[in-house]
Amino acid sequence: MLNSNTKLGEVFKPTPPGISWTAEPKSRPWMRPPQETDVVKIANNYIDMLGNTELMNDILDSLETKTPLSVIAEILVMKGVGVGRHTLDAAVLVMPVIIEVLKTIAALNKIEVVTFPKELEKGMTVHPRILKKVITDMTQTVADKAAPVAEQEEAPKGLMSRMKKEGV
Amino acid sequence: MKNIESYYNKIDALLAQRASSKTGKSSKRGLLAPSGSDNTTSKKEDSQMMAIADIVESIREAREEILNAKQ
Repeated sequence: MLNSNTKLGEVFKPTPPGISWTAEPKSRPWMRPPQETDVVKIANNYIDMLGNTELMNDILDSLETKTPLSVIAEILVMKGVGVGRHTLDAAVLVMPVIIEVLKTIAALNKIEVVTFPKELEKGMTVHPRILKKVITDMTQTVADKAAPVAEQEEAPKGLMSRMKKEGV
Repeated sequence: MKNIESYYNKIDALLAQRASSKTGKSSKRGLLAPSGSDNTTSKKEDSQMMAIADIVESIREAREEILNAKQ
């Protein structure tokens, strides 16, 4: 078990080659055939799953933070693959259905969504020309606002230096 | 993610094509039918994609109906 006291060398322990052969046959989900192979059934299972109220709240949270729908769908299907519910091929095939269901949930709750991360990048990126102009304007404003600081003469230091007489 | 986006767009195109064929215009005209030339995927994959396209279409229709009913 890893914790804060675990040494760095133990964290990055290399996996011995052939370790996958040491597990019991069919003890892992990916060593067994998938539970479901029919794409339509898999899609229906996901539709049922997304109708669950507990999951719905978590999904709405994710949608409000503008997480792309494809990312949420990918997480859901990859979980299905990991558990052994279906194959990776079926996961990719089913993804548009999940995206559509998520779009419906968002539309019913009046949440603006982004389907793919590419769209999110488009909305957030700023052209370098605009960025340069903004930086120039900001620098100019700061320079204008800054009051000119009067240079003060440094008082002579040391034992042999003359002291200034007050009132002269 | 790029592959998923192209697959999603492919389904969109399929649905759009289906909608246009419903209006009466047939896309298969001329001497050679296009289905013979652009048949790159296997029949099983095609049928699975069609099934998914059906589900996507029905979800979209249901969504529009619900939203119209709300308004």
